[in-house]
Amino acid sequence: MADNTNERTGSLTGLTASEAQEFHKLFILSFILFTLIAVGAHFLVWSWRPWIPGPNGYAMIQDTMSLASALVSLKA
Amino acid sequence: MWRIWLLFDPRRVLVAMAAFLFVLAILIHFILLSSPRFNWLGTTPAPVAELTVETVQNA
Repeated sequence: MADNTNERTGSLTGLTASEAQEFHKLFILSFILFTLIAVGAHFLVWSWRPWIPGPNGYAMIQDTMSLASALVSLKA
Repeated sequence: MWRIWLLFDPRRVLVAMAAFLFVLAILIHFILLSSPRFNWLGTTPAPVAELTVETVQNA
């Protein structure tokens, strides 16, 4: 118990190294999960209504073929 | 990388992050609801989609 107290006083937050590692594992896992859900949501919204219009407006990117040609013409 | 939790209190980080993300999400959702194209509660089908350079020039 005395060792544990010394470990805690070593850090600013009072966490031990193993506690910090344990929390970090959960934090990264939650971050990845959150990001995956966000990517999925963005994919769904993009397929509903894309938010970056082509050079000739939103009508250019109504289907996949015109989206491809819009991207090509953007590069040219 | 895990040593960050020796510097920053995990509880404060979680509360701050949750508050920030919630406010950001609310803000983005309201901005989208106020726009004609991305208001998902509106019944009009993609009004801005009809607006092209040609239609504007011909009008």
